[in-house]
Amino acid sequence: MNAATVAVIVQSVAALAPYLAQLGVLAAKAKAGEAVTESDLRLAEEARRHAFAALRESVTGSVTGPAF
Amino acid sequence: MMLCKGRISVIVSFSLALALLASCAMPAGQQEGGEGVDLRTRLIAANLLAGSLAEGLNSAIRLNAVVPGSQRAQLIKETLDAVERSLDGAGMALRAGLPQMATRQISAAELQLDGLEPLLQSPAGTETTGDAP
Repeated sequence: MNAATVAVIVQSVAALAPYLAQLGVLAAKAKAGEAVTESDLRLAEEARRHAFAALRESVTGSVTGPAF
Repeated sequence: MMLCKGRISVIVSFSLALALLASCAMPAGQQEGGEGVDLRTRLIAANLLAGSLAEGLNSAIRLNAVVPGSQRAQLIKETLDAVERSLDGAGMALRAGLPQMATRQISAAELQLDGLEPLLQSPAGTETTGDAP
């Protein structure tokens, strides 16, 4: 595996860091039998919307969300 | 080479997301209860999986593994739009006290996310930038 490939993998993992952290919190709460909160849900939704907006911009050059 | 790196990026993201999602999944017995808390956990996990997939695909696009404007890119966009609608709908239904509707919306989002998998596995070099042949 060359340096460029390693760099790509590191970059990918770094981009996933916020999701990994939230998944870790989710896993810890599940194991402890704690309930997840509305705040947890809002954080996850916000992270997803942010990622989708960035991806939509990359794919189409538009930041507009889905048309309803 | 760029295609290879892009695919690695997507695969790494996808694998990590799935592995972590599986590790934090609620035991099946707890999910069967249909309680709001368990449904919320499932919805959070679906949101995080969708977000991490979007990050992985975004990396692939930056590396030109997926060409903006191509059929494949459009298909990804359409699929992601469907996932977003379902996840937003699930959140609204859950907050409105409609767990059955939320469950259906989450299931729809999970199915749409599964639909992205073949796009990640497309052989390198098959990307097209034009219209349908």
